[in-house]
Amino acid sequence: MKQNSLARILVLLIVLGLALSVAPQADSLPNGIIGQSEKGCTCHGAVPDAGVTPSIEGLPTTFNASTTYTLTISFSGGPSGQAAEPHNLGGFNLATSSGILEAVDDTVKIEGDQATHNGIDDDLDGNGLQDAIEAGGEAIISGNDYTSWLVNWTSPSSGSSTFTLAVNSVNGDGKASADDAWNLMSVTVAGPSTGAAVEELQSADPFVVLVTLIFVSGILLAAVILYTFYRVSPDGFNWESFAPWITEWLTSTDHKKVGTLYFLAGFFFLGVGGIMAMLIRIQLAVPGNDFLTQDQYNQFFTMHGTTMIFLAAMPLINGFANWLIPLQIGAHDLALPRINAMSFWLQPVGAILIFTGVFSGQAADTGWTGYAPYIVSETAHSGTTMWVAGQIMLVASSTLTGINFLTTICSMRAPGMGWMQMPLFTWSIFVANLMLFISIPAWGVGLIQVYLDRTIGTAFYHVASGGDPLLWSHLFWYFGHPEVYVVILPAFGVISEVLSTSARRSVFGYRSMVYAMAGIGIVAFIVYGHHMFTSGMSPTLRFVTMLSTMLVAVPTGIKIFNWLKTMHKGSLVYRTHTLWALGFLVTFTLGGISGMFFPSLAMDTHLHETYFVVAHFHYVFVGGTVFGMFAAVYYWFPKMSGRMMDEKWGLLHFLTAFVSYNGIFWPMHKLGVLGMARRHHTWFITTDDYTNIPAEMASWNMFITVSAFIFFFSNFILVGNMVKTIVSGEKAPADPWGGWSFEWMTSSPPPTPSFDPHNPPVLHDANEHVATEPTIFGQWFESLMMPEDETEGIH
Amino acid sequence: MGIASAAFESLWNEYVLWSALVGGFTFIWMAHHSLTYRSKDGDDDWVDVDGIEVGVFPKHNDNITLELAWTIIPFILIVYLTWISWGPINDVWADPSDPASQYGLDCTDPAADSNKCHHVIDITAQQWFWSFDCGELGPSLCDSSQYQDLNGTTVPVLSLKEGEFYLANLTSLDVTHAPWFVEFGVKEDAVPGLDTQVWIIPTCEQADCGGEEGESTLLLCTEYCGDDHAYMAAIVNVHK
Repeated sequence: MKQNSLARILVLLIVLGLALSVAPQADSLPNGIIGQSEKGCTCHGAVPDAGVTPSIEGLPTTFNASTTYTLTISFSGGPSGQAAEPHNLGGFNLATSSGILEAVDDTVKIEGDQATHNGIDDDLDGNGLQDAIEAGGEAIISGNDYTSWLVNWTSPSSGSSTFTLAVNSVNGDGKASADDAWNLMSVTVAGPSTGAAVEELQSADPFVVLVTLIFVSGILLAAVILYTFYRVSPDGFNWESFAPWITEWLTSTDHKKVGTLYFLAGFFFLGVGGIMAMLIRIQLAVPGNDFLTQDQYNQFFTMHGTTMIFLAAMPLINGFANWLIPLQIGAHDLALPRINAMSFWLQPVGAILIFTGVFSGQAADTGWTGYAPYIVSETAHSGTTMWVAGQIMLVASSTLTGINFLTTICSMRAPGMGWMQMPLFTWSIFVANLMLFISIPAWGVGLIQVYLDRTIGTAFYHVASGGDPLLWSHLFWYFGHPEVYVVILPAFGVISEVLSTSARRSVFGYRSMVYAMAGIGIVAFIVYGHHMFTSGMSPTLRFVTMLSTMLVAVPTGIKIFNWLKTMHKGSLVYRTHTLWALGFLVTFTLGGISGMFFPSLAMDTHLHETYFVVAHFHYVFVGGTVFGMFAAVYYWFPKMSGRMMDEKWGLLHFLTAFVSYNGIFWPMHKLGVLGMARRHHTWFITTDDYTNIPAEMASWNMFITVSAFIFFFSNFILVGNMVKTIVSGEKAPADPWGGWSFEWMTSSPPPTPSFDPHNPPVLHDANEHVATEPTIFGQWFESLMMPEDETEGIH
Repeated sequence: MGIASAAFESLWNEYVLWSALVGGFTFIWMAHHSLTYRSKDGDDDWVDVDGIEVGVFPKHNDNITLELAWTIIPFILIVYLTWISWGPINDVWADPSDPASQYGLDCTDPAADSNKCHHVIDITAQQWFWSFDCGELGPSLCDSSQYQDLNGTTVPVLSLKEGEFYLANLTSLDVTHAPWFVEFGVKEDAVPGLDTQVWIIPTCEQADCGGEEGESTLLLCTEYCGDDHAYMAAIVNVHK
């Protein structure tokens, strides 16, 4: 570095010599040395004078990034100060190769990016006396009346900085005199030693970060599994014991074990989806960020959405459904246990296909909606084909799951349990799977069409060959909108169970709860057009869709008010699951209300595809489904593990997650209204040239990112709590919360088979007078079922 | 906020009001009940009015009047909200051939009243830029010859006159795009193989419309279209 500086000075001196011969006219008196910088001062002698000593004080040996230092510039020697009047002592010019110079007071001014003295020409007649004094007035003090000055320097974030200081020492006669002298010095200051490391981290490929984190998560998961195995039998910690143990898990058809596998997969992918969300939020923290390229960002938001909905939310719901449906209806297992295991194992295989592209940096970049014709265009990534293949597997999985749960709930309820005596969670799973079973094949058809378009050259969606891009939108949203209710209804079921048990009351309006869920299930199929308002829809359909979408609020409203009324005159016990249920009521109500803005056409044309939409569906998906699942974890974990969870950790989890969650998604409403479009890898704030998002909204984006990190890490409290509970939690009784349904009748954890198939439990009904009489709807539905004697013969 | 769509502003205010009322009602109710009817785990002084017991379906806790009330009252609110949203339902897609349309006839029709007629422009979308075609319109009504830098990307500038009616015909040459006139609160998909239209009535936030320079706002793409989706923007300049 020093050699470099020396060489530079030598070169500069040569240049200076040349410059002197060409342009010796520069004027440094008295208004500062302008434009001279490293060439030094040319008006007080042709060559530097060693008798003048420049000095810079206040420079550190190694500067910190983006820190402001106050430098004292001074000189000594030369003819300065020899004149009778204390003015015109000298001047300086300070240039720096990086960082920003600022004046501390009026004696210094900034010219360009250099600092120099701020002088006043106070001796216009050039007689060596200030004009002001000659006129009988006070002496004027100006920048060139000093031999020392103060300059602030703000350091750059990295690298080194070279300062070049030229000073002149003058005799004070106001003219360029032969005895005036000048000199030059240069000094280089090293930057922060961590500068290079920071640079390296910034340039790390986010894909490497993601894939590394996925592997780390996988290893942690494996470690947890191994540790659990060790805890179960510390003496048998060897391969001979491990092989049958793991084989049993991998091949089990027991609904509880398959349910646990769903949980493991669901939580693992919740983490993976969360990691992607964090990378997305880093990118969006500041405007114009380049942490992710647009190519990477598009893959990240696609994989985030796909992962969260299909690989996290659905498996978590299926985990609870697997565990609890047989237990709640008094069955020993699901109706089709091997089909159930197959449903699960299709998921990891589908997940591997979906993620194949990530490992080659060519993951699907279509958005989770995969709109045509982009999805079949050449610009879409090659990983999209594998993404479609994986999704087809998930469609198969969901269809089989639907068949399984519908069959189980229809045919395996314990004696005494009519349709209108089923626990509400069972009802929610029934309606959700019915919707899924009816809707997801349509999407499966669309996926197969896309797969064929991408692989063997069919033209379902290639416009040039007569394909219809809107066909995809219809097939996707015919499934996609019911899917939204498929993931929220089970949360409704959970909240009904949790709130009524915590309030030690029957859920208010059990029958209207059931009808509301059924109503949502029906209306869900006639609202999907609101996703396509801006795609050239006919005015009549627009009105119909607006009305039907608005109607969803009615059954949803019934449910919310019923939950609130359930607490009336109850005896609410505050446990962690109660808090999550109340938190759910807050966030889901907000998400429901914001959803009412979209069917209104004149507002939708503005809000469509903005962060208002992002805020809305995260309020419903996270504030609804995920919070519901959190409530379910705290509520049923003692039943599943046989151990009580730590309530203090639970409270801490609730408080941190609930507050930070709202910090993430509430401000997004405003961002969307003001003009921030979703699925953009960067965003624009208002400048002199155009209006867009107000500049202060940049702070909100940073706030959202910080909140997102807090939310992400807060959920590790839950994971820690679960592990801690398994390892050292208190033993759980059969019915720790005072619930009424059959799962609380079994031991914690329940035996296998969950109930004796030859001696199932019998449900009694506190409403004897209405229990045995099926309703008209019930009679009609029963008439559709296969008669009892025929089912007997099938075995 | 400079959302110029009058329909948006009035609907937004009405919806925010009802949201606050419904949300406020719900949250006050929730806060009251969750604080009033609380007890501690292990307290035995609660009355088991519903017969909660394992293996017994508990007594019904319902009230048909209340349940009907919170079915019917929200339904009435829904009908009202639908009603107020019905009027502007076609604002951005009004049928130009309808004589009752507020935008009147095509200005190229000699019979058209110049104060009540509309101008037709074409917008073509392509990965990842917009092309505007002003047709026969003079530069005071429509100009698309300028370009400007936007974060290192050169984007086209569409200059329109305040208060005029423009009917934009949208087409796409590759995948689906959607121009969003952010400050006018309007967007519509440009779907390949499909002809779509959108009405634009340029308005300014400031009374003088930014003087000679005009007011500039961004046009963003709002149907995901691939890599440079975020940079597929244009500047819409509105002048007096």
